Amino acid sequence: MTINNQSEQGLSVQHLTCERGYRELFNNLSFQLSPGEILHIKGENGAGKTSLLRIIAGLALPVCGEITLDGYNTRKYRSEYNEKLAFMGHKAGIKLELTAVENIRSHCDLASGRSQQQIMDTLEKVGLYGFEEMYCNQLSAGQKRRVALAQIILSQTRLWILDEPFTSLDVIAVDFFLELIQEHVCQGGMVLLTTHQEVTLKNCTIKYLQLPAGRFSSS
Amino acid sequence: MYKAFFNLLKRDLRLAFRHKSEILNPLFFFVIVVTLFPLGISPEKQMLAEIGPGIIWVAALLAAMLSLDSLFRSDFEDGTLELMLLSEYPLSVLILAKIVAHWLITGFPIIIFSPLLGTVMFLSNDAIETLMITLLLGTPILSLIGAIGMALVVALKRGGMLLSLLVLPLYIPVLIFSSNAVGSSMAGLSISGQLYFLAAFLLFSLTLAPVAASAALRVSLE
Repeated sequence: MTINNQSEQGLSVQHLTCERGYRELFNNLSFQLSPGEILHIKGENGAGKTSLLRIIAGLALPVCGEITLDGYNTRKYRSEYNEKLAFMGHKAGIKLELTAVENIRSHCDLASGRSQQQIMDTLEKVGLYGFEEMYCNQLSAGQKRRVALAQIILSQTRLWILDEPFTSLDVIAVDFFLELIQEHVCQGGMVLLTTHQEVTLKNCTIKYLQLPAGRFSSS
Repeated sequence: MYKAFFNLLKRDLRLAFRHKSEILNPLFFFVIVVTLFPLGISPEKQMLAEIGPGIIWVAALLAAMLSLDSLFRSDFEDGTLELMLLSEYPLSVLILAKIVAHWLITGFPIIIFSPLLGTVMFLSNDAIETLMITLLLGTPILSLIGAIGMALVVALKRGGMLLSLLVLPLYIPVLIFSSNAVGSSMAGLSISGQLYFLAAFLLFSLTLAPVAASAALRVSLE
Protein backbone atom coordinates (compact mmCIF):
# COMPACT_ATOMS: atom_id res chain seq x y z
CA MET A 1 0.00 0.00 0.00
CA THR A 2 1.28 3.43 -0.86
CA ILE A 3 1.68 5.88 1.93
CA ASN A 4 -0.79 8.68 1.46
CA ASN A 5 -0.80 12.09 2.91
CA GLN A 6 -3.44 11.57 5.60
CA SER A 7 -3.84 15.24 6.37
CA GLU A 8 -5.14 15.82 2.86
CA GLN A 9 -8.87 16.52 3.11
CA GLY A 10 -11.50 16.15 0.48
CA LEU A 11 -11.89 14.34 -2.78
CA SER A 12 -8.99 14.06 -5.14
CA VAL A 13 -9.16 12.68 -8.66
CA GLN A 14 -5.87 11.92 -10.39
CA HIS A 15 -5.18 11.18 -14.06
CA LEU A 16 -8.57 9.69 -14.79
CA THR A 17 -9.19 8.23 -18.23
CA CYS A 18 -12.52 6.87 -19.34
CA GLU A 19 -13.52 4.98 -22.45
CA ARG A 20 -16.97 4.11 -23.57
CA GLY A 21 -17.38 1.67 -26.43
CA TYR A 22 -13.78 2.13 -27.65
CA ARG A 23 -14.24 5.89 -27.70
CA GLU A 24 -12.18 7.93 -25.31
CA LEU A 25 -14.40 10.32 -23.39
CA PHE A 26 -11.74 12.13 -21.43
CA ASN A 27 -8.18 11.42 -20.51
CA ASN A 28 -5.79 12.49 -17.83
CA LEU A 29 -8.47 14.31 -15.90
CA SER A 30 -7.41 15.56 -12.48
CA PHE A 31 -9.17 17.77 -10.00
CA GLN A 32 -9.46 18.39 -6.31
CA LEU A 33 -12.53 19.12 -4.24
CA SER A 34 -12.20 20.37 -0.68
CA PRO A 35 -14.88 20.39 2.01
CA GLY A 36 -17.22 23.32 1.49
CA GLU A 37 -16.96 23.29 -2.29
CA ILE A 38 -19.30 22.48 -5.13
CA LEU A 39 -18.12 21.08 -8.42
CA HIS A 40 -20.42 21.74 -11.34
CA ILE A 41 -19.51 19.41 -14.18
CA LYS A 42 -20.39 20.80 -17.58
CA GLY A 43 -20.27 19.26 -20.98
CA GLU A 44 -22.35 18.48 -24.00
CA ASN A 45 -24.52 15.42 -24.33
CA GLY A 46 -22.23 12.45 -24.61
CA ALA A 47 -19.25 14.23 -23.10
CA GLY A 48 -19.08 11.71 -20.26
CA LYS A 49 -20.65 13.56 -17.34
CA THR A 50 -22.64 10.59 -16.13
CA SER A 51 -19.71 8.24 -16.75
CA LEU A 52 -17.49 10.47 -14.65
CA LEU A 53 -19.98 10.56 -11.78
CA ARG A 54 -20.46 6.80 -11.92
CA ILE A 55 -16.70 6.28 -11.81
CA ILE A 56 -16.36 8.58 -8.82
CA ALA A 57 -19.23 6.83 -7.06
CA GLY A 58 -17.45 3.53 -7.63
CA LEU A 59 -20.15 2.08 -9.88
CA ALA A 60 -17.93 1.98 -12.95
CA LEU A 61 -14.25 1.31 -13.53
CA PRO A 62 -11.98 3.88 -15.16
CA VAL A 63 -9.38 2.78 -17.69
CA CYS A 64 -6.78 4.28 -15.41
CA GLY A 65 -6.56 6.87 -12.67
CA GLU A 66 -7.05 7.05 -8.97
CA ILE A 67 -9.71 8.55 -6.72
CA THR A 68 -9.04 9.25 -3.08
CA LEU A 69 -11.17 10.69 -0.31
CA ASP A 70 -9.25 12.21 2.59
CA GLY A 71 -6.18 10.44 1.28
CA TYR A 72 -7.75 6.98 1.23
CA ASN A 73 -8.19 5.11 -2.01
CA THR A 74 -11.92 4.76 -2.55
CA ARG A 75 -11.69 1.31 -4.13
CA LYS A 76 -9.63 -0.19 -1.35
CA TYR A 77 -11.80 1.29 1.40
CA ARG A 78 -15.10 0.79 -0.34
CA SER A 79 -17.29 0.35 2.71
CA GLU A 80 -15.85 3.42 4.49
CA TYR A 81 -16.19 5.44 1.31
CA ASN A 82 -19.80 4.38 0.73
CA GLU A 83 -20.56 5.49 4.27
CA LYS A 84 -19.64 9.05 3.28
CA LEU A 85 -21.36 9.08 -0.08
CA ALA A 86 -24.88 9.76 -1.31
CA PHE A 87 -25.66 9.12 -4.97
CA MET A 88 -28.62 10.22 -7.04
CA GLY A 89 -28.56 8.97 -10.59
CA HIS A 90 -30.83 9.19 -13.60
CA LYS A 91 -32.94 6.44 -12.11
CA ALA A 92 -34.40 7.77 -8.90
CA GLY A 93 -33.99 4.57 -6.89
CA ILE A 94 -37.63 4.51 -5.86
CA LYS A 95 -39.77 1.40 -5.73
CA LEU A 96 -43.15 2.20 -7.24
CA GLU A 97 -44.99 -0.46 -5.27
CA LEU A 98 -43.88 1.00 -1.94
CA THR A 99 -45.14 4.12 -0.25
CA ALA A 100 -42.93 7.17 0.17
CA VAL A 101 -42.17 6.29 3.78
CA GLU A 102 -41.42 2.66 3.03
CA ASN A 103 -39.07 3.70 0.23
CA ILE A 104 -37.11 6.02 2.44
CA ARG A 105 -37.07 3.53 5.26
CA SER A 106 -35.67 0.77 3.09
CA HIS A 107 -33.07 3.14 1.70
CA CYS A 108 -32.02 4.24 5.18
CA ASP A 109 -31.77 0.62 6.24
CA LEU A 110 -28.95 0.21 3.73
CA ALA A 111 -26.99 2.61 5.92
CA SER A 112 -27.32 3.37 9.59
CA GLY A 113 -31.06 3.66 10.12
CA ARG A 114 -33.10 6.77 10.92
CA SER A 115 -36.05 7.12 13.24
CA GLN A 116 -39.61 7.32 11.96
CA GLN A 117 -39.80 10.90 13.23
CA GLN A 118 -36.78 11.99 11.19
CA ILE A 119 -38.27 10.45 8.07
CA MET A 120 -41.61 12.19 8.61
CA ASP A 121 -39.90 15.54 9.24
CA THR A 122 -37.82 15.26 6.09
CA LEU A 123 -40.84 14.33 4.00
CA GLU A 124 -42.59 17.40 5.27
CA LYS A 125 -39.50 19.46 4.51
CA VAL A 126 -39.44 18.34 0.86
CA GLY A 127 -43.12 19.17 0.52
CA LEU A 128 -44.62 15.71 0.59
CA TYR A 129 -46.73 16.22 3.68
CA GLY A 130 -49.91 14.23 3.18
CA PHE A 131 -48.34 11.95 0.57
CA GLU A 132 -46.38 9.78 3.02
CA GLU A 133 -48.62 6.75 2.75
CA MET A 134 -49.29 6.99 -0.97
CA TYR A 135 -47.81 4.39 -3.27
CA CYS A 136 -45.07 5.93 -5.36
CA ASN A 137 -46.72 4.89 -8.62
CA GLN A 138 -49.46 7.37 -7.74
CA LEU A 139 -46.96 10.20 -7.37
CA SER A 140 -45.89 12.47 -10.20
CA ALA A 141 -42.38 12.42 -11.64
CA GLY A 142 -41.44 15.51 -9.65
CA GLN A 143 -42.82 14.07 -6.45
CA LYS A 144 -40.80 10.90 -6.99
CA ARG A 145 -37.72 13.08 -7.36
CA ARG A 146 -38.61 14.71 -4.07
CA VAL A 147 -38.71 11.30 -2.42
CA ALA A 148 -35.22 10.66 -3.80
CA LEU A 149 -34.21 14.07 -2.48
CA ALA A 150 -35.44 13.13 0.98
CA GLN A 151 -33.26 10.02 0.76
CA ILE A 152 -30.22 12.17 0.00
CA ILE A 153 -30.94 14.47 2.94
CA LEU A 154 -31.44 11.60 5.35
CA SER A 155 -28.25 9.88 4.28
CA GLN A 156 -26.31 12.53 6.27
CA THR A 157 -23.22 11.89 4.21
CA ARG A 158 -20.44 14.30 3.33
CA LEU A 159 -20.17 13.81 -0.40
CA TRP A 160 -23.27 14.18 -2.56
CA ILE A 161 -23.03 12.97 -6.14
CA LEU A 162 -26.02 14.27 -8.05
CA ASP A 163 -26.58 13.43 -11.69
CA GLU A 164 -29.08 15.85 -13.23
CA PRO A 165 -30.85 16.36 -9.89
CA PHE A 166 -33.22 19.03 -11.17
CA THR A 167 -34.99 17.00 -13.86
CA SER A 168 -38.76 17.23 -13.53
CA LEU A 169 -38.58 19.45 -10.45
CA ASP A 170 -40.58 22.67 -10.46
CA VAL A 171 -39.05 26.11 -9.84
CA ILE A 172 -39.85 26.10 -6.13
CA ALA A 173 -38.37 22.66 -5.66
CA VAL A 174 -35.21 23.62 -7.56
CA ASP A 175 -34.77 26.68 -5.34
CA PHE A 176 -35.36 24.58 -2.27
CA PHE A 177 -32.87 21.99 -3.51
CA LEU A 178 -30.26 24.70 -4.14
CA GLU A 179 -30.82 26.02 -0.65
CA LEU A 180 -30.25 22.54 0.72
CA ILE A 181 -27.08 22.16 -1.29
CA GLN A 182 -25.89 25.49 0.06
CA GLU A 183 -26.67 24.46 3.62
CA HIS A 184 -24.89 21.15 3.11
CA VAL A 185 -21.81 22.82 1.68
CA CYS A 186 -21.70 25.42 4.43
CA GLN A 187 -21.53 22.61 6.95
CA GLY A 188 -18.39 21.31 5.27
CA GLY A 189 -20.04 18.98 2.78
CA MET A 190 -19.03 18.44 -0.81
CA VAL A 191 -21.30 18.32 -3.83
CA LEU A 192 -20.58 17.05 -7.31
CA LEU A 193 -23.32 17.74 -9.77
CA THR A 194 -24.18 17.84 -13.42
CA THR A 195 -26.95 20.01 -14.74
CA HIS A 196 -27.62 22.11 -17.80
CA GLN A 197 -29.04 24.90 -15.67
CA GLU A 198 -27.03 27.71 -14.21
CA VAL A 199 -26.31 27.18 -10.54
CA THR A 200 -26.12 30.39 -8.57
CA LEU A 201 -25.42 30.20 -4.88
CA LYS A 202 -24.35 32.80 -2.40
CA ASN A 203 -21.41 32.34 -0.02
CA CYS A 204 -20.23 29.13 -1.63
CA THR A 205 -17.26 28.22 -3.76
CA ILE A 206 -18.46 26.78 -7.02
CA LYS A 207 -15.85 25.15 -9.19
CA TYR A 208 -16.54 24.35 -12.79
CA LEU A 209 -15.24 21.44 -14.78
CA GLN A 210 -15.72 21.55 -18.51
CA LEU A 211 -15.48 18.15 -20.13
CA PRO A 212 -14.08 18.06 -23.67
CA ALA A 213 -16.70 18.02 -26.38
CA GLY A 214 -17.91 14.72 -27.77
CA ARG A 215 -16.22 13.50 -30.94
CA PHE A 216 -19.12 14.08 -33.29
CA SER A 217 -19.45 17.75 -32.44
CA SER A 218 -15.76 18.59 -32.84
CA SER A 219 -15.44 17.00 -36.27
CA MET B 1 -25.50 -5.77 9.34
CA TYR B 2 -28.12 -8.28 10.51
CA LYS B 3 -30.57 -5.43 10.58
CA ALA B 4 -29.79 -4.52 6.98
CA PHE B 5 -30.19 -8.17 6.02
CA PHE B 6 -33.57 -8.60 7.68
CA ASN B 7 -34.88 -5.24 6.54
CA LEU B 8 -34.05 -5.99 2.93
CA LEU B 9 -35.63 -9.42 3.29
CA LYS B 10 -38.74 -7.80 4.72
CA ARG B 11 -38.85 -5.25 1.93
CA ASP B 12 -38.65 -7.93 -0.77
CA LEU B 13 -41.36 -10.03 0.87
CA ARG B 14 -43.57 -6.98 1.19
CA LEU B 15 -43.06 -6.20 -2.50
CA ALA B 16 -43.91 -9.77 -3.39
CA PHE B 17 -47.13 -9.62 -1.41
CA ARG B 18 -48.12 -6.44 -3.22
CA HIS B 19 -47.44 -8.23 -6.51
CA LYS B 20 -49.11 -11.53 -5.80
CA SER B 21 -48.40 -12.79 -9.30
CA GLU B 22 -44.76 -13.12 -8.34
CA ILE B 23 -45.70 -15.80 -5.83
CA LEU B 24 -48.52 -17.38 -7.78
CA ASN B 25 -47.01 -17.59 -11.27
CA PRO B 26 -44.22 -20.08 -10.53
CA LEU B 27 -46.56 -22.09 -8.34
CA PHE B 28 -49.27 -22.26 -11.02
CA PHE B 29 -46.71 -23.17 -13.63
CA PHE B 30 -45.45 -25.98 -11.42
CA VAL B 31 -48.91 -27.35 -10.66
CA ILE B 32 -50.16 -27.10 -14.24
CA VAL B 33 -47.12 -28.77 -15.81
CA VAL B 34 -47.28 -31.69 -13.41
CA THR B 35 -51.03 -32.22 -13.72
CA LEU B 36 -50.86 -32.18 -17.52
CA PHE B 37 -48.66 -35.25 -17.67
CA PRO B 38 -51.29 -37.77 -16.52
CA LEU B 39 -53.59 -36.32 -19.16
CA GLY B 40 -50.98 -36.36 -21.90
CA ILE B 41 -49.27 -39.70 -21.30
CA SER B 42 -51.46 -42.09 -19.43
CA PRO B 43 -53.34 -42.05 -16.16
CA GLU B 44 -52.02 -45.50 -15.27
CA LYS B 45 -50.63 -45.86 -11.81
CA GLN B 46 -47.58 -47.92 -12.78
CA MET B 47 -46.45 -45.53 -15.48
CA LEU B 48 -47.00 -42.34 -13.46
CA ALA B 49 -45.23 -43.63 -10.38
CA GLU B 50 -42.23 -44.39 -12.56
CA ILE B 51 -41.95 -41.01 -14.27
CA GLY B 52 -43.45 -38.97 -11.42
CA PRO B 53 -40.28 -38.02 -9.51
CA GLY B 54 -38.54 -36.81 -12.65
CA ILE B 55 -41.53 -34.81 -13.83
CA ILE B 56 -42.10 -33.10 -10.51
CA TRP B 57 -38.45 -32.16 -10.28
CA VAL B 58 -38.20 -30.93 -13.86
CA ALA B 59 -41.28 -28.79 -13.31
CA ALA B 60 -39.86 -27.37 -10.06
CA LEU B 61 -36.58 -26.59 -11.80
CA LEU B 62 -38.25 -24.81 -14.70
CA ALA B 63 -40.53 -22.89 -12.34
CA ALA B 64 -37.50 -21.71 -10.39
CA MET B 65 -35.71 -20.70 -13.57
CA LEU B 66 -38.65 -18.76 -14.96
CA SER B 67 -38.96 -16.81 -11.72
CA LEU B 68 -35.29 -15.79 -11.64
CA ASP B 69 -35.99 -12.68 -13.65
CA SER B 70 -37.83 -11.13 -10.71
CA LEU B 71 -34.72 -11.47 -8.55
CA PHE B 72 -32.82 -8.40 -9.78
CA ARG B 73 -34.72 -7.07 -12.78
CA SER B 74 -37.08 -4.61 -11.12
CA ASP B 75 -34.39 -3.36 -8.73
CA PHE B 76 -32.10 -2.82 -11.69
CA GLU B 77 -34.70 -0.91 -13.63
CA ASP B 78 -35.67 1.57 -10.93
CA GLY B 79 -32.12 2.14 -9.71
CA THR B 80 -32.45 0.66 -6.22
CA LEU B 81 -29.85 -1.93 -7.16
CA GLU B 82 -27.31 0.86 -7.69
CA LEU B 83 -28.07 2.18 -4.24
CA MET B 84 -27.51 -1.30 -2.82
CA LEU B 85 -24.10 -1.38 -4.48
CA LEU B 86 -23.32 1.90 -2.76
CA SER B 87 -24.37 0.66 0.65
CA GLU B 88 -21.81 0.58 3.40
CA TYR B 89 -22.72 -3.05 4.13
CA PRO B 90 -21.14 -5.91 2.19
CA LEU B 91 -23.01 -6.46 -1.03
CA SER B 92 -22.94 -10.24 -0.62
CA VAL B 93 -24.98 -9.97 2.59
CA LEU B 94 -27.63 -7.89 0.82
CA ILE B 95 -27.64 -10.28 -2.13
CA LEU B 96 -28.11 -13.20 0.24
CA ALA B 97 -31.15 -11.44 1.70
CA LYS B 98 -32.58 -11.08 -1.79
CA ILE B 99 -31.90 -14.74 -2.55
CA VAL B 100 -33.55 -15.87 0.67
CA ALA B 101 -36.57 -13.73 -0.16
CA HIS B 102 -36.68 -15.21 -3.66
CA TRP B 103 -36.60 -18.72 -2.26
CA LEU B 104 -39.37 -17.96 0.25
CA ILE B 105 -41.47 -16.53 -2.57
CA THR B 106 -40.90 -19.19 -5.23
CA GLY B 107 -39.31 -22.29 -3.71
CA PHE B 108 -41.20 -22.58 -0.49
CA PRO B 109 -44.74 -22.68 -1.96
CA ILE B 110 -43.56 -25.44 -4.31
CA ILE B 111 -42.44 -27.52 -1.33
CA ILE B 112 -45.80 -26.99 0.35
CA PHE B 113 -47.68 -28.15 -2.74
CA SER B 114 -45.43 -31.07 -3.60
CA PRO B 115 -47.22 -33.72 -1.45
CA LEU B 116 -50.41 -33.02 -3.36
CA LEU B 117 -48.68 -33.50 -6.69
CA GLY B 118 -46.86 -36.55 -5.37
CA THR B 119 -50.26 -38.07 -4.64
CA VAL B 120 -51.45 -37.20 -8.14
CA MET B 121 -48.45 -39.09 -9.51
CA PHE B 122 -49.15 -42.11 -7.23
CA LEU B 123 -45.88 -41.80 -5.33
CA SER B 124 -45.64 -43.85 -2.15
CA ASN B 125 -45.67 -42.07 1.21
CA ASP B 126 -41.95 -42.66 1.64
CA ALA B 127 -41.30 -41.22 -1.76
CA ILE B 128 -43.37 -38.11 -1.02
CA GLU B 129 -41.38 -37.59 2.13
CA THR B 130 -38.15 -37.92 0.19
CA LEU B 131 -39.51 -35.59 -2.48
CA MET B 132 -40.12 -32.93 0.14
CA ILE B 133 -36.67 -33.36 1.64
CA THR B 134 -34.99 -33.14 -1.76
CA LEU B 135 -37.01 -30.04 -2.62
CA LEU B 136 -36.10 -28.50 0.72
CA LEU B 137 -32.41 -29.08 0.00
CA GLY B 138 -32.60 -28.49 -3.74
CA THR B 139 -34.74 -25.40 -4.32
CA PRO B 140 -32.42 -23.10 -2.31
CA ILE B 141 -29.59 -24.31 -4.57
CA LEU B 142 -31.65 -23.31 -7.59
CA SER B 143 -32.17 -19.81 -6.20
CA LEU B 144 -28.52 -19.43 -5.20
CA ILE B 145 -27.01 -20.62 -8.48
CA GLY B 146 -29.67 -18.75 -10.42
CA ALA B 147 -28.68 -15.52 -8.68
CA ILE B 148 -25.18 -15.75 -10.17
CA GLY B 149 -26.57 -16.21 -13.66
CA MET B 150 -29.15 -13.48 -13.22
CA ALA B 151 -26.51 -11.08 -11.88
CA LEU B 152 -24.51 -11.63 -15.06
CA VAL B 153 -27.36 -11.00 -17.48
CA VAL B 154 -29.38 -8.37 -15.58
CA ALA B 155 -28.13 -5.49 -17.70
CA LEU B 156 -29.04 -7.24 -20.96
CA LYS B 157 -32.42 -6.52 -22.47
CA ARG B 158 -33.12 -10.10 -23.49
CA GLY B 159 -30.94 -12.26 -21.34
CA GLY B 160 -33.44 -15.09 -20.92
CA MET B 161 -31.83 -17.50 -23.35
CA LEU B 162 -28.34 -16.73 -22.12
CA LEU B 163 -29.50 -17.19 -18.55
CA SER B 164 -30.75 -20.71 -19.20
CA LEU B 165 -27.52 -21.55 -20.99
CA LEU B 166 -25.51 -20.33 -18.03
CA VAL B 167 -27.61 -21.79 -15.28
CA LEU B 168 -29.08 -25.07 -16.59
CA PRO B 169 -25.81 -27.04 -16.67
CA LEU B 170 -25.35 -26.20 -13.00
CA TYR B 171 -28.92 -27.25 -12.20
CA ILE B 172 -28.50 -30.67 -13.76
CA PRO B 173 -26.62 -32.35 -10.86
CA VAL B 174 -29.39 -31.22 -8.52
CA LEU B 175 -32.01 -32.70 -10.85
CA ILE B 176 -30.19 -36.00 -11.24
CA PHE B 177 -29.54 -36.58 -7.56
CA SER B 178 -32.97 -35.44 -6.43
CA SER B 179 -35.10 -37.43 -8.83
CA ASN B 180 -32.83 -40.40 -8.31
CA ALA B 181 -33.34 -40.12 -4.55
CA VAL B 182 -37.12 -40.07 -4.93
CA GLY B 183 -37.01 -43.01 -7.32
CA SER B 184 -34.77 -44.99 -4.98
CA SER B 185 -37.05 -44.43 -2.03
CA MET B 186 -39.94 -45.69 -4.16
CA ALA B 187 -37.93 -48.86 -4.68
CA GLY B 188 -37.12 -49.02 -0.98
CA LEU B 189 -33.40 -48.34 -1.40
CA SER B 190 -31.17 -46.16 0.77
CA ILE B 191 -31.10 -42.50 -0.21
CA SER B 192 -28.54 -41.12 2.21
CA GLY B 193 -25.88 -40.78 -0.49
CA GLN B 194 -28.01 -38.52 -2.66
CA LEU B 195 -29.14 -36.45 0.31
CA TYR B 196 -25.56 -35.97 1.50
CA PHE B 197 -24.59 -34.79 -1.95
CA LEU B 198 -27.49 -32.34 -2.08
CA ALA B 199 -26.67 -31.02 1.39
CA ALA B 200 -23.03 -30.57 0.44
CA PHE B 201 -23.99 -28.78 -2.75
CA LEU B 202 -26.35 -26.55 -0.79
CA LEU B 203 -23.63 -25.56 1.68
CA PHE B 204 -21.18 -25.00 -1.15
CA SER B 205 -23.53 -22.71 -3.05
CA LEU B 206 -24.73 -20.98 0.12
CA THR B 207 -21.20 -19.88 0.93
CA LEU B 208 -19.98 -19.03 -2.56
CA ALA B 209 -23.02 -17.93 -4.58
CA PRO B 210 -23.66 -14.59 -2.78
CA VAL B 211 -20.02 -13.59 -3.23
CA ALA B 212 -19.99 -14.63 -6.88
CA ALA B 213 -23.31 -12.93 -7.55
CA SER B 214 -22.19 -9.66 -6.00
CA ALA B 215 -18.98 -9.67 -8.05
CA ALA B 216 -21.06 -10.36 -11.16
CA LEU B 217 -23.44 -7.52 -10.30
CA ARG B 218 -20.59 -5.04 -9.96
CA VAL B 219 -19.41 -6.04 -13.41
CA SER B 220 -22.78 -5.90 -15.12
CA LEU B 221 -23.77 -2.55 -13.62
CA GLU B 222 -20.69 -0.81 -14.94
